[in-house]
Amino acid sequence: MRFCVLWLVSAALLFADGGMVLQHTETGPFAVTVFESPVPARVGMVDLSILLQTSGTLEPVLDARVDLELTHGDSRLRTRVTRQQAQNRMLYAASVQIGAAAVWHYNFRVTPASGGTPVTVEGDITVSPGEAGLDAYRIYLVLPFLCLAVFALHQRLKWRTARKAG
Amino acid sequence: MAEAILTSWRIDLRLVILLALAALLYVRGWRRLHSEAPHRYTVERLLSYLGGLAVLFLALASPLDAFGNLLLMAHMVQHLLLIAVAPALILLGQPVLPLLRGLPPGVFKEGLGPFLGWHWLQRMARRLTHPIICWLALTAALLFWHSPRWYDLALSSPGWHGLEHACFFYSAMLFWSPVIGVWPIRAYGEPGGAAWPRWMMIPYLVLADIVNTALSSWLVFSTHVVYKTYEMAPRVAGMSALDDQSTAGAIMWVPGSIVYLIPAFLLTMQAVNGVKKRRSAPLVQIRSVGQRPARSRPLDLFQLPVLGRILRLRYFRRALQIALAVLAVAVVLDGLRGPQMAPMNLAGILPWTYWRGCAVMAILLVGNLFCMACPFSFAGDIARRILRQPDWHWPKALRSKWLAIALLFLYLWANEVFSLWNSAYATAWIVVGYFAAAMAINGFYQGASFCKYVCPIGQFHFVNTLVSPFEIKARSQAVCGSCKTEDCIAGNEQHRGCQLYLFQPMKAGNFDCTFCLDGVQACPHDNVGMIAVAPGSSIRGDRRGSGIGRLWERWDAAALVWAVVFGSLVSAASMVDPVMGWMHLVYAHFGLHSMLPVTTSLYLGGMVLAPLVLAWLCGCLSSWLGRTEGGWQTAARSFAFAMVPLGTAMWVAHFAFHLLTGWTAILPVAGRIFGWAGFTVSLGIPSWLQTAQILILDVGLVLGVYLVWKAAQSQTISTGLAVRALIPWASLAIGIWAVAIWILFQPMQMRGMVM
Repeated sequence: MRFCVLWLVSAALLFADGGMVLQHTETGPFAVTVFESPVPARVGMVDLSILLQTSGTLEPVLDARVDLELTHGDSRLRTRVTRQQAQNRMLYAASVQIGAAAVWHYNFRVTPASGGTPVTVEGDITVSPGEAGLDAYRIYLVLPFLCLAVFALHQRLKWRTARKAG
Repeated sequence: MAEAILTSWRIDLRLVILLALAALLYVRGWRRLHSEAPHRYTVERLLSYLGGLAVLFLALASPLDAFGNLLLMAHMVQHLLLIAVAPALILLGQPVLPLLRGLPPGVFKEGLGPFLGWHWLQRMARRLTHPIICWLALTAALLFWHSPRWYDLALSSPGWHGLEHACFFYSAMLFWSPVIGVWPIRAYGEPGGAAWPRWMMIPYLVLADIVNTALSSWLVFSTHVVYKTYEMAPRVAGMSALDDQSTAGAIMWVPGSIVYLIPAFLLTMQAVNGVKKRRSAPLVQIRSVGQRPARSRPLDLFQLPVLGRILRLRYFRRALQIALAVLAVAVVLDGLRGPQMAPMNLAGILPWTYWRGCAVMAILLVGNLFCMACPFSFAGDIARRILRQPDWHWPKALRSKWLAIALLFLYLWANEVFSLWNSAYATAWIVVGYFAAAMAINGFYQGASFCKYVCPIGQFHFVNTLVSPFEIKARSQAVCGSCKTEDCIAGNEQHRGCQLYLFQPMKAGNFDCTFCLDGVQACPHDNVGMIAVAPGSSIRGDRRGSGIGRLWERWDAAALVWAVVFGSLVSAASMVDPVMGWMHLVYAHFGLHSMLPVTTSLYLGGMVLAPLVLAWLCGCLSSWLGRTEGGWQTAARSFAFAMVPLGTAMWVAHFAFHLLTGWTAILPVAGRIFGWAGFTVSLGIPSWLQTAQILILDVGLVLGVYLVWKAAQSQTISTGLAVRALIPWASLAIGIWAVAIWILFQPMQMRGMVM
C-alpha cells in the first residue's frame, strides 16, 4: 500500500518544470536569456520564457512589457509574455500553440517600464514533429488494459486461495 | 526580487490531490489505531507522517523547484528534502498499517486482500527490503543521477527530471526502511524478521555517508563547472556558477552527513548502553488487519450537516422543479418569439448545451438529479390536482419500456434528421409537447405512469444511473422489518408514497428511481437515505427489485440498455467529419434528394440492427463456450447491463465536450435579452478535455469488463467456463470502447455556438 501511494505521488512528480537556455545576449540596458521547454520543442504547446537582467549588475528586471512574435513562412503568432504565466516569477513566460514542424523565427520585444526605447531579441527555434493523434495519449489507452491485467491476477489469486481452502 | 522568489510556487492540482489523499487515508487509519493502541500510534507519529508529506510538497511545489534550473544549490536543497527529510519523516509515522486501515473495508478486504497474501509478492518485498538492496538502491541512484550526462538530461526535460526525483524518493524510502524499522519488517531473530541486527545499521549509515562525502567533495573541490546547464544559465544570485557549485557541494556534504551520522550516533549509544530498541512493529498484530472493526456506515448525503438538511427540506424538490419550470417557460417563449438563430436563442443553448451536459455530469457525480428537478413531472402533479385524480390504470399492454424505447429512438433520430438542436422553434414545441404529455398522462393515470413507461429522457437517466455513486435506499433493513405501515410506498396524510412503486426494503438500484424523495419524506422512521454505493453494484447480479422485477429476465429493459449504449455511439458518430463524409458519399452515390434515408439507415443500423446482431452473436458464443443454460437470449439480456458503464462514459464524454466548449454560449443570449453589450463567446477547447474523455471511457471499459466477469460467474458452474463465457462480451466491450475512442479523436461539429 505504501508503495502504491508513493507511486501515485510520483506520477505527479513527472510534471516537474524543465527548460534549456536557447539564447543569452546583451542588448541595450538588458542582459537577456531565452529559455525553451520542452527540449526539443515539438508541435503543440511550447513554453518560451525570458529572463531580463540589467546589463552591469545582473539585477532582475521585473516590470518590463514583453511581446513575442513567432513567424514561419506566412504563419505568424503574436502573444504577450508575462511573469504571471511563469512558474519562476523572475521570468516572463508564454505558452504558444505551434502547429507546424519547422524552424520558427522568434522576436521578443522588450519595452522598459520607464518608457525607454524598446529592444528586440531575435533568434530561431527548431520545432520537431509532434506525436500524432492517438500516440500522444498511448499511456491512457494502455491504462485500462493494465487495470484489467491486475484484476485478472487478483481473481486468479482469489481463486487459488479458495481452492486451497477447499 | 524577494517577491518574485516567494511567489514562484507551482501548485500542481494532481500533486495536491495525491498528497491530500495520502494524508486522508493515514488520518482515517491512525484514528482507528490510536483508539485501539494509543501508546503505539501516538500523535508524534501522526505529526511526523503529515510533516513528511508537507516536506514533499515543499520540495516539489516551492520556489526551490522553480529555481532548480538556475541555481544548483537550490536544486541540492530540493534533493536533500526528497532524499533525507521527507522519506524519514513519512517512515517514522509507521505508515503501512494506518494506510491499510484507512481504506474502505471493501477495497481493503476484497481488493488488496489477495495481493497481501500472495507469497511471491511477500518474497519480493522481503528481498527488496534487505539492507544490502536498500543501501545499493540509494547509492546507485545518487551516483547515477549525479553523473553530468544524466543530471543535464534531467534538467533539460520535465519527464527525466520527474524520473530523477522519483528515483531519489523511492530509493530513499527503501534506504531508511531498515534504519527506522518499518512495520511489517520484524525484529532481527524473529521468524521472517530483519536480515541484520540493529548494530549493523551503524556501518550501513557510515558507508552511506562516505559515498555522500565523496560525491559532495567532488562538487566542492572541482575546478570547473561540472554541469553544463548551470554553466550556461544566467547568474541570478550574484555568484558565479563555480561558487554556486561549491555551495551546493557544501550543502550536500554538511547537512547531508548530519542526516546519516545522527542516527548512526544514536544507534551507537543504544548499542553501547545495551538498550534494546523498542519494537517498531505495532502492538496491533497482523490479524487485526484481517479482523476489522465493525463496518463503518457508508456516506449518506441526507446526513451531511448542511447539505443533508437542505436536501430533506419538504419543499426542496418543489423549489428545484419550479426553477427548472421557469427556465422551460423561458425556453418556450424565446423559442417561439425570439430570433431563430439557435445560438442566439435560449431554446438553442439551454437544453442542448447546458441541460444535457449538466444532467450527465450529475449522473456521474450523484445520480438522477434531472428527474429530481423535472419540470414536466411538476406539471403532471398540477394536472393531477386539477383533474382530482381520475386514477385510471395505465394499459397493461403498455406497462413496459417498449414505448419509451421507440420514443428514445425517435428523439435521437429526429434530433439528427431535423437538426432539432439548431431550431429554436422546434425545441420550443418539443418542450410544450413534453409538458402536455406529462400533464395528460400523469393527470389521468395512476402513479407516475409518464415517468415509468413513456418519458424517453427518464429512461435514459434510469439506465445511466445504474452506475451512479448514490442510491435512494433504506438505511437499515431491521427498521423496515419492524415497520407495519409501509408509508414509503403507501403514503400517509402528509406525504404520498413512491409513485413508481419502488418499495424501499426491496428496492434494487436506481432503475426506475426518479430521486423524487417521496419515499424519503413519507418514511415515519427516517430510514431512507441517499447512500453511497459502488457504481454498478446493483447490476453485478440478478436481484429481484421492487417495482422492476428481475432486470436480467426483462427483454424490454435489456433492449433499453442496448438502445442507450449504441445510441451513445451513433449520436456522437453522426456529428464527426468522417461519418458525415461517408453519409454524403452514400447520398451522392444513390442520387438521393434528401439525407433522410441515409440518416435513418445510420440510426436503424446503429441502434437496432448492430445491437441485435452483436447481442445474438455474443450470446450464442458465450452460451456455447460457457455452457450456460437459457441459450443466447438469456446471455443477451443479462450481459447487456455490463455494457451500461461504457454507454454512460460515452454520453458523458460527448455531452461534456459540448458543455465545456460552449460554456460561455449563454453570454451573447443574455446580452441580447438584457441589452448588455460586449459579450463574446470563448470557443477554446480545454487542453485537458481529451485526456479526461479518454479516462472516462477507460473507467467505463474497466467497470464494464468487471460486470461482464460478474455476469459470467453467475451464469456458469466453474471459473474456467466463466472465463470462456466472458471472452465474447469482453471483446464486445473493448470494441465499443475502441469505436468510442475513434469517434472522440475525429473533428466534431461545434453545435450551439456562434462561430
